Amino acid sequence: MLSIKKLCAGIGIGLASCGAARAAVIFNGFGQIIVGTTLDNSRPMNVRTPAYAYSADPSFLSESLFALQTTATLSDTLSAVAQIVASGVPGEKDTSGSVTPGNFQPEFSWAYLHGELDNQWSVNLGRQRLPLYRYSGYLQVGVAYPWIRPPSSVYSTPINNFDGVLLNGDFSPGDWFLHPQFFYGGFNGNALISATPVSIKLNNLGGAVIEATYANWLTLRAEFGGGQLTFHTALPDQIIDDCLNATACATLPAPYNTLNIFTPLPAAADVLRSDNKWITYTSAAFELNRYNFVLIGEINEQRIIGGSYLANYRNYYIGAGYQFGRLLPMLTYSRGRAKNSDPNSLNIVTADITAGNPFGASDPRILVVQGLFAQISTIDDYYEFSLRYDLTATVALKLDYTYYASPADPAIFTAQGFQHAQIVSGGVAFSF
Amino acid sequence: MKKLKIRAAQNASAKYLRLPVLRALLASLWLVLLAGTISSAHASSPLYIIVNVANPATEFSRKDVIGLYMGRIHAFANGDRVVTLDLPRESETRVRFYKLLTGMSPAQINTYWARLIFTGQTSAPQPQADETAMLEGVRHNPAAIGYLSSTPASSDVRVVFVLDDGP
Repeated sequence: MLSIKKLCAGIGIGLASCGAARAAVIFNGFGQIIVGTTLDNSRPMNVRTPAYAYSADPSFLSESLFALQTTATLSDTLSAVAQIVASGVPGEKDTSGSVTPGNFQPEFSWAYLHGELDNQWSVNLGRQRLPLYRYSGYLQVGVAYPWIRPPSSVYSTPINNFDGVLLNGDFSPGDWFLHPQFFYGGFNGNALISATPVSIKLNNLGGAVIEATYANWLTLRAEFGGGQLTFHTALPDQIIDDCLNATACATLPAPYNTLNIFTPLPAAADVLRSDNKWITYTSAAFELNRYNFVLIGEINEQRIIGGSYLANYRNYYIGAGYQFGRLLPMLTYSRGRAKNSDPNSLNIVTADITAGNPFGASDPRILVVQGLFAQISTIDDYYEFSLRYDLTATVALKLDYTYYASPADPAIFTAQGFQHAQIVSGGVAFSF
Repeated sequence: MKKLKIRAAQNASAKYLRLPVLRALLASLWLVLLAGTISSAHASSPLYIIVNVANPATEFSRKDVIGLYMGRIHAFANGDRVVTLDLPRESETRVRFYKLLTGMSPAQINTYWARLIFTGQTSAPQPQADETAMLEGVRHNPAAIGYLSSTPASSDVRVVFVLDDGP
């Protein structure tokens, strides 16, 4: 923690010029420098988090970051909080072999007002962390958890922030501490999916969370939430709007890409178009920390309501470790599974295509739509061995070995096939 | 009879042979016990949780102190907002305070607070320069709570909990 006085002194400004702040601004920060590489020259292609964008060339930019949080006290009960995070962006090699250098890109992650309503309830208003997971609030704060990164199969949502209101409660009945949260708001912006910026809108995003802690060694957490998702990416949009709801399909070869060859199917397009689709989100988590044993688990499920080619997700992890003084070795297994939310909508769309078209059941658009459904179903498994060593109270050294595999099970999915990778990463995480 | 005599002689010699060993063992035991007493005396020398004498609270439970120092309780029973005072991170008393109160190491405490601070939920306890400053802080602020490694030599503060063993 660094007071404004110290900061002003440090940068050689007289205290008089800093007087306006009257030590009411507190700076906290965190960061990490992580180096990682794949061991077997493989690069996982469908892995969900960009954090895993490692290759055989060691990179220190994929997961390294530096962040500064300022908390300005405006009154006894009101403060303004802002967090700037400079994340590493790895360089890229193009087809000619020339390399674009990587760098750090700073952005305002959060900016919100925090108000104390009474002794139990407080409210945050503005852009802030979406409390989807046990570690949501400190997703990038490496010192706040045992691993280099929270398990990727669960921590895979491309959206981590939202704009809105978050109500925080603190109660202490009996031997328990209870921390309920309620949130409402939305998100409108680009998110990275498979390293591609995708336009995502979430309206009427809301939910309730309850976290209960018993005697400092057992924490339980449960959540239910939902919202209306609008999701647009190039290929599905092309299939839905240019193939189904048009007279020609640009993605198909001649003669199907010529004008006036198909009958437009607006109803089928509506089934597939991801506009304001309701999604629900449920999750549960626990952490047990007793007699030096650490056991952590979390499961979540995202479901699309109504017809869609999009997937439902069920993701979970379980990790166990033992604290040897300052050293915490852990073994963690996690699985992420995506499955078509409504396979029946494929039948509906296929029937629509078949009926009343010159090509009938041999309409090539059926294959295109099947492809859209097929690429969604995946399984991602992560087997992870991690070490955390607390160098000081605020600095932790970390090492991680992860074996990633997507099991080839043709009964479950067809497009992904078997992929695997070994990823080794290590570094230092700190806070101040 | 002869056998008995031989056995008695053997026992006696064994007794004399064992005596130095016994003595050494006993001496070691004493040393261990003494060391244990010394170390347990250090481990169990109590810490005193104090509030301003104007604070109507007279006695806290361990859970109250945990709630206040772990950012889960924000006010005293009378509804007044708490100002939680702490010692510097490197202070021995602070390390012992959190170990006795929660069983957590300094790194675990930092991890815990990193979670709360970087979610903007609450502010960490306010670090004071040393125990003298901590005592002064509580003396001059009816909303403050602090802890000391010795009985406070001031009638302006009141001990509300004595922390003398681990969780």
